[in-house]
Parts: sequence; structure tokens; C-alpha cells
Amino acid sequence: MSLLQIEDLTVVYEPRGAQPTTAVDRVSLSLEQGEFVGLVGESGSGKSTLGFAITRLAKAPARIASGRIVFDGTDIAGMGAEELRAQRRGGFAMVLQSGMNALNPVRSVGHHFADVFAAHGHVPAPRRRARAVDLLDKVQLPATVLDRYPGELSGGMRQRVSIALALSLEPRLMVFDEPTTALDVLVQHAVMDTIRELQKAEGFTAVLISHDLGVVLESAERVAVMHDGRVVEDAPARELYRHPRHEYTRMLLSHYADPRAEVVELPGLSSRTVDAAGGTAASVRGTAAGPDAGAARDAVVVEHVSKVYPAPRRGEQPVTAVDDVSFTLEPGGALALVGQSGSGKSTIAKMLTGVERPTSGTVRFGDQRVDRMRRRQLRRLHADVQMVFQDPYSALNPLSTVEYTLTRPVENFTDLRGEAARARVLELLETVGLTPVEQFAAKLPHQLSGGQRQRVVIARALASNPQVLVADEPVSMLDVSLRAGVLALLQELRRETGVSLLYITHDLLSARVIADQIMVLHHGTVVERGETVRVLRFPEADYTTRLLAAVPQPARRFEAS
Amino acid sequence: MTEPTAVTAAGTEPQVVPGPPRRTSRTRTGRFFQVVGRGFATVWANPKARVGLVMLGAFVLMAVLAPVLAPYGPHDDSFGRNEAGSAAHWLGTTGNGEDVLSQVIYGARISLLVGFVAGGLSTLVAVVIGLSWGYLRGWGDDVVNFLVNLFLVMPGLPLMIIIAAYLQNGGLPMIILVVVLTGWAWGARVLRSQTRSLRSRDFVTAAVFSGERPARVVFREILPNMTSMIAASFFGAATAAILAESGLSFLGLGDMSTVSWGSMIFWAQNSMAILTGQWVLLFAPGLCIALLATSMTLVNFGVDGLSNPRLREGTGR
Repeated sequence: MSLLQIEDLTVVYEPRGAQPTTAVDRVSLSLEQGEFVGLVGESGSGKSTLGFAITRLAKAPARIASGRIVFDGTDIAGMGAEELRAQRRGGFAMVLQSGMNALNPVRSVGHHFADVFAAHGHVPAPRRRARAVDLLDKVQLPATVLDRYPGELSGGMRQRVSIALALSLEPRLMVFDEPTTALDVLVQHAVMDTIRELQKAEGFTAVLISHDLGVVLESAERVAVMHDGRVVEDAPARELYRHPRHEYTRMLLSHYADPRAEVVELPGLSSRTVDAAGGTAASVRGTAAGPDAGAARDAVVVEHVSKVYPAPRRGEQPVTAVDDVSFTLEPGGALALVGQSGSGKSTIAKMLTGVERPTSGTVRFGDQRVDRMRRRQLRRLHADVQMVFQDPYSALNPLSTVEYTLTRPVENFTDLRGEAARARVLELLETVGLTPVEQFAAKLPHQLSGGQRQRVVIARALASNPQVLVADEPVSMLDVSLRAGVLALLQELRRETGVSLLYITHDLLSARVIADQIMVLHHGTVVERGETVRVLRFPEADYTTRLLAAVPQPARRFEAS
Repeated sequence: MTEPTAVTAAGTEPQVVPGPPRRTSRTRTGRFFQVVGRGFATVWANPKARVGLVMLGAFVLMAVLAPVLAPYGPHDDSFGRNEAGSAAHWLGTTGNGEDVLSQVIYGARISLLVGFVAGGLSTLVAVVIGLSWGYLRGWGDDVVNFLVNLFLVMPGLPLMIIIAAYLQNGGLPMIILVVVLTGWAWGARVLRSQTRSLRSRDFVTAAVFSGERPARVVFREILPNMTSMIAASFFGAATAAILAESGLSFLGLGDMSTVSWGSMIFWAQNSMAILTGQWVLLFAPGLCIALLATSMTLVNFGVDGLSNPRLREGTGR
């Protein structure tokens, strides 16, 4: 008999004063004892809602409208609160995406374990510490962690603690809701390894919820793909990878590729091959340097730049975010800065745009010194150097229409006014592919999808006909299927307007398709640089190899065996 | 949470073609009334705030319709002195022979006027100072900080009394001035911290990249995003202003020729109303002050709901 049987489960959201929406729509799914099942879908597919429903953690306005959830022979869909609490031990547990923030900051890790043991009374008081040490050992943390407070631990360590806490109740079913999404790339990889090993050793049934099909395919035995509240495909991982049946699954799979491959193709992006060394770079630059107006004329030259932030607390060392970095962004060129968080890549972007001043070294744009500019000069600089922000959800003022957002830079940086300015705004919308333009101009940000918002952000950056675009992780907050579209837009803009691009990312695959040159940063220093194709195919630095290994690739698991 | 996405051919972006958007008015004033109406609906949805709004509405009606509602003029002292309640004078008469009920009704005018004008002005000062202070960095920051702290540490009522004593006999404008001078600091500090957190948001940086000048960034980009906080600060300030006006009048520092709830208590106290058994003289205006302040505080509960982004449409993913 299956451990968990979901039958025709429907979950609806009923917010006050708004239309109810069906998040999970008549889903049936069964989980066997000891199985590792992946649940994949993009934002809004209902995967997390389903995860919350099967652990009965769903809260208002979410409501289980119909269906049964049979766990080990009992229907838990209509169970009372106290019954449910008792059931948590030896039953089901959940690890959340923001699990690292689920710990109480004023209580030590040891207290958290003691609370759980006391609530369920399954570990006698004298044995509690030993048991906690035991559990921490399982998630590869030392016993000393018990006396530390959550604030003293890194994100990855806190996520491990929350996994250990979930384990302390000896659950037979563990639901991991995006357990690594909020973590850094390299840490993500390590935490996923731990989860896989734990599952094998402990033999619990695991449900891994993720938006990233790559991560899921690397771990799960069976994968269920969700779309618009329904499970559209449910198949063993290998079969799903080899012979995806549903169109949606095929679309998701098409967005994965190995950045080390000879040819990298993503849907909608022209293929970039290596015929001769630097062949692609030369060809792109060739077209870019055409006689078109608006093309980049000036290079950005960064020489021996360092940035040191004062110590966060008294008695601590000052933080060196960037350490003696030099590079040149040629007019019309595309340079990728890659590295994990804290590698100083965003700080470099801030210094390039004049938001921060370097502690030492010079940043020049043409013959201007960016590092010495005053406020008024910076305004002029921003006519030439523009920025695309990481989070399209916070980069647009929620109260301003698209037209207003785009009209402002047009009026501030050009002589266009009134109807002429409006015509320019519509032209910009056309450029970024938001048609019908009239309709999109009147919209407010919340009426747009993430990808559409990011296009508005790009349109705003283009309003002043800039020479340089600094794009700080422009696709990291977007769903996989939307990423390719935005990347293709950036590539097309380079080709058509000849704008120089500084592309900042931790995602090597997107760097491979977008940039000619690449610079790998680690702890503020450059560890490797060169042609993107060469660096990614034949990395020399150890750190680059580690970054490459952290890119989720379904291919690796199945091709090898 | 529920962005509609569609299965499309690989690579093309699923288009969310938003349905006909909610009817937005074309004209500027039309849009303004729409926003106000939506805000009112949000506040109305909160049961506590609904009670507050009804009470406040009743007081406003009472003040506006005072000449119609009040049986006599507020200064009409042609009646017997210190009379108990009767059919002709429901709440009795004062030591000067005026009708208490009429005075209570007319008194609402002063309290509401001072409340809204002084509350509005001190909120205005708080917004201007708080937002600029939160946005700008540099030495000015420390100067404003010192000034605000100065106003915050000085106990309010004694400061008011001293200022009022210097501006003796200034009438209503004087009272409003005193209340504004002593009431803006708290709001400024609250709004400043909110500005601090909003200024680090990407859309503010983006506005700077769009070439906007600081004043426009502060008042066009940041300010509309803290409307609820400003509304809350206004109701808080208005409540404080009403209490301050009553307090000053009661102490005899107000304009004694106008009839306000505070001055009614002042005169009642002077004529020893309690000793003559006329507790209504003290009780009626006191209750009105308490109820008006309560109504504003209740409305504030609903305004708190406004500032909770989860209750606002469109801010969620």
C-alpha cells in the first residue's frame, strides 16, 4: 500500500474581497514508502500549495475544497488540530524555502531541539543533547552548533539545522519546498548532496518541490510536472528526461544545456559555436561597429580598483569587497562577471555607475573619471551608462503606469516633450517586444508578468540611448521559460544598437550565451578571465571548475550511466 | 501567486495579456476620487474602523448642523442659573445661565476644527521634514536629528503651556500653532524610518538612473508608497490636537470667549459644578472629548490595514 495517496485534491485560495482562484485542481498522486519524488513547476503552478496541503500546513485564505489525502491509511484532509499535532511525529515534516529564517533568532540551536523534544516527549530529558548532536551529525554539522544562535550561522548551516529539526521527529514523509533556492550556488549543491544522502540512509519518503527541473532530475527517482494546478506528467526521472511526453515538459527541458558543451543552444537564442578562437566575439563586434547612430563610442576602463567597506562591528576586520580589479569594456563588447554572492561583482557594477566610489583605483568612461563625479555629473553619466536591475518586482514603482515610468527618462535625457516623448515611449515598448504598445503603456506593474516587467526595466534603461548597459542578474528572478526571451532581447539589442554590455551573473549558462568575454571573481579578486568559450570549456582555475560543477545538468546523471 | 502562464512554443514568452484592466478614470480628479474611494473601502472593511467612522461621521454632522440641531445659541445666557435637566434644557444650564446641550453641540465645531487643521498642518510638517531627512545623507541629517530629538524629549504639555503663555490671547490660531509646534516630531521620525527603508528599494535607484532630481524622487516616487502611514500619522496627530486643545482650554490658556468642550469644563470647574450637583456639566463635554478621540483611534485600526501590503491588491507576486 502506498504511504500517501492523494485523490482528486482541489485547493482554492479565497482572499477577502477578491475572486477565488483554484491553485491545485483535482490532483491525484501516490507516494510509495522510501520513494524520492520531485515536484516541478514554474511560479503559480500550485506546487507549493500542494506541498502545504499534504502536510496540512495550508492556512487561510487557502482551503482544501475537495478530495482526500490518505496518509498511511487515515484521511488527514479533515483532521483536527490536536490530532494533527500528534501526527507530526513519525508522520510528515516540511523544510521550507526560507527555512534559514524559520529559526527564532533569540534562542540557541540547542533550544530549538529541546522545544521539539519537549513538545512530543519522545526523547527522555537526559538523552536530548546526545540525540541533538546525533541529528546534527546527520546533516554534517559539528556539535558546537548547538550553543550558537541562528544569527551566527551561515544560510547553508541554518538550512541544515532546519532539516535536522524536521528529522528529529523521525518523519516517514519529508517535504522539501525549494530547500536550496535562497542559498548561494555552491552551497546549494552541497545541501542537495546532503539531502540525497540522508534520504538514502534514513529511508524516508521525500518530496522535493522545485522550479528547477535540473535540480530535481539530478536527485529524484520519479518526477511529477505541474502546470496551472494540474499534474501534466508523472514519470520516472530517466524516462521523463529521455522521452518527455507532454509539450510543457519538453519546453522546460529545452532550457537546460551544458555551458561546457561545444555548441550551446537555447530556444530563441542564436547558436554560438566555436569555429575559430574568438570567432563569435569578432563577428558580433563586426556587426556592432557599423555606422549606426547610438552605438557605443567610449570604452569603460577600470584600473586597479578596490573597495573596502568599514568593519560592520567594532573590533572586526574591514570588509574588502573588491580587491585590485582591472578590466576594459570595449565599445560594443559584452563582458560577463561571474561569481557566487559576496564575490564583489555587484560592487563593481555600483562603482561603474557611480553609485559607490572605489576606495582606490580609477574608473574611466571615455575621458571622464567616474570615481570623482559629483551628483550633477552623475546625472549626465546616466545618459550614457544605464542599469538593468535584478528584481523586476521591486525595480518598478508599483503606483506608476508603464508610460509614466518610461516618459521620465525620455524627458530628463532628451529634448522630446509631449507627443514626441510619447511616440518615443511607444517606440521603446516596440523595441522590447511589448505589443500592442498602446495597451502596455497604460498598465500598472502588477498587471504584468515577471518577464514583461523586466522588459519594461530594459526599455527604461534604453530611453536615453545609452552606450553601456550594466545588467545585474537580469534573469535570476524569472521563470526558466521566460529567461531565454529576456536573454534573446539583450542579445538582439547589442546587435542592433551596438550597446556595450556588462553582464553580471552566477549562472554560467546564460553567461555563455550572452557574453564574449568573461571574468570569474572570487572574494573580490579575478581568478580567471578570457574568451567566454575558452574559459568555460577549458577552465584553468579550480574555482571556475567548481562553479561549473554546480550548474544543474540532468544530462550528467543519465548520460554517464 | 497565480500568474497565468500558458504553454507556448519553446522560447517564446507566455504572454499574460491582462484582461480589461479595472476601469481607471481618465481625468486627474477622477483618478483622485477613485483612489480615495478605494482607500475608504479598505478602511470600511475593518469592523473597528467602521465603528470609528460612524462615530466620527456623527460628530462631523453635529458640528456642521449645529445651528439646526442646537435648541438655543451657545452664548444665550437668558435662562435661569444652575438649573437641573428639564424638558426645556435637557442637560440643564450653566452658572451663567446658558444651555449646556447647545454648548456641547457647538463645542464640537472647535474641537473638530482644531483637530483637523492642527493635525493636518503637523502632518504636513512631518511629511516634509521626515521624507527629506530620510532621503538625504550628510551633515544635515545630524542637525535635524538633534532638533527632532529635542522636541521629542521635552514633555508635551508643559512645553505647550509655556508657548501658550507667551502667545497669550492669540485665539484659535494660537492654539493651532502651539499644537503644530509640539506635535510634528513624532510623525517626522516615523516617516523618516519608512523613507529609509524605501530609499534602498530598486525603483528608487532606478528613478535616480532615470535622471530624476532628489525632490521628485522623494515626493513623486517615495511619498505615494507610504500613503497609509501618512494617513495614520494624520489621525494620530488629530487625536493629539483635540486632546491638547481641550487641555489648554481647561487650563484657561485658550480663548475663553469661544465655546469649546475644554472651556466648558474650565467654567464648570470654576463654578464648582460638582458641589452644586451638576455633574453633567463636567461629564457631557468630557465624554464627547473621549468619544471623539476614541473614534479617531478606531479609524486608525483600519488605516493600519491599509499599510499591510498583503491586503493591498497587486503587491504580491
